[in-house]
Amino acid sequence: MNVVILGGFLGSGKTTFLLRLARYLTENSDSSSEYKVVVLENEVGDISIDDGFLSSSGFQTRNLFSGCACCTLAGELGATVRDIDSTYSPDWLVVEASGVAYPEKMKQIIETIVSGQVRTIVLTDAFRWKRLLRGLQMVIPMQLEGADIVLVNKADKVSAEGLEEVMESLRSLCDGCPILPMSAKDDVPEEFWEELLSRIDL
Amino acid sequence: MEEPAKQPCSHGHHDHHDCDHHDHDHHAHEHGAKEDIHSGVHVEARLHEGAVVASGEMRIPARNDGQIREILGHDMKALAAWVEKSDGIIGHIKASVETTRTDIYSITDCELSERTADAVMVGIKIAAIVYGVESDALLHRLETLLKHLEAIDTSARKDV
Repeated sequence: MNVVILGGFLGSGKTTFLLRLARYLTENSDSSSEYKVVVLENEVGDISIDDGFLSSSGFQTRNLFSGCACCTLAGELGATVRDIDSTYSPDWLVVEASGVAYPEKMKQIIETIVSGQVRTIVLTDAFRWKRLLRGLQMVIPMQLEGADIVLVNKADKVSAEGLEEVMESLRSLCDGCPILPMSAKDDVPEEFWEELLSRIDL
Repeated sequence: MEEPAKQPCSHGHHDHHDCDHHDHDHHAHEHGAKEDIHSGVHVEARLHEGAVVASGEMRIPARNDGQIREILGHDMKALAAWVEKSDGIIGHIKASVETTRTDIYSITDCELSERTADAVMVGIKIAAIVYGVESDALLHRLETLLKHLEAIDTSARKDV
């Protein structure tokens, strides 16, 4: 079981991206596994808005509520990943971190459990980047730590100059990891997925 | 790039900027919950890393769930505008609406009997994670939003 952890601040488009990624992985799988992709949702709040939507999109979905899987629910994260691996044995587990989680922390936990590859993809919101970085100067940079790749989502909502400013800002924070602009709400071309997976060695 | 401003905190317990975030022990504080047993509206809020994490839900019978959906969207925009006006930062405001229609089929001899309810059950969930606003104020806003939706279409409750 390979694991992809989707991190990034609240509203960065993780769920929209997750649906597209999960569909791509499912449709391009040549394995005979019954479960190509299982989704694990982590919500810091007490109710999940997305799980019904994901389940009705056809994906086996598990949830961790009322806390953050990188700290307050770290024990449950490990147990749930172990259970998903033994129950479903999927090709891929896609974990959507809560919007305030630090994905690198989750990766460290999951790497001790699974034998497959574990990668972190961190999404950022190009449109709100400056405002969020100004207001949340501790959380946002720490979410980028250890990212295998950073996606600048909502690139279509900013000008070319604005996008370059965001990319430049990210380069100063990301310690050389690949950074790709995208728009998860639009159809994502095949080449994007190929590049994404190759950039993170999957 | 301009100097980053301090992250606005919504409570007076302590300043989260002084926390050692490398240890990353999220600070979760239970704050408040309200349940109106007459209406079934349930809301609750707590603090997490300087954010107010609030949620609410209810299930109501209704004949016009389309109107509820439309007004929900309008009320969510009004909630977002209130956060902006309060100099808060929206983490996210998300809602889901689930409509359940129940039909009953029965056979006592050879005839199939079919009954369809003239209303649907509408389940509404809303979650808001917001920085820089008071927890109680956000809780009150969510409660008001849900009660507003509840009051839109009471026709299915008058005759049951």
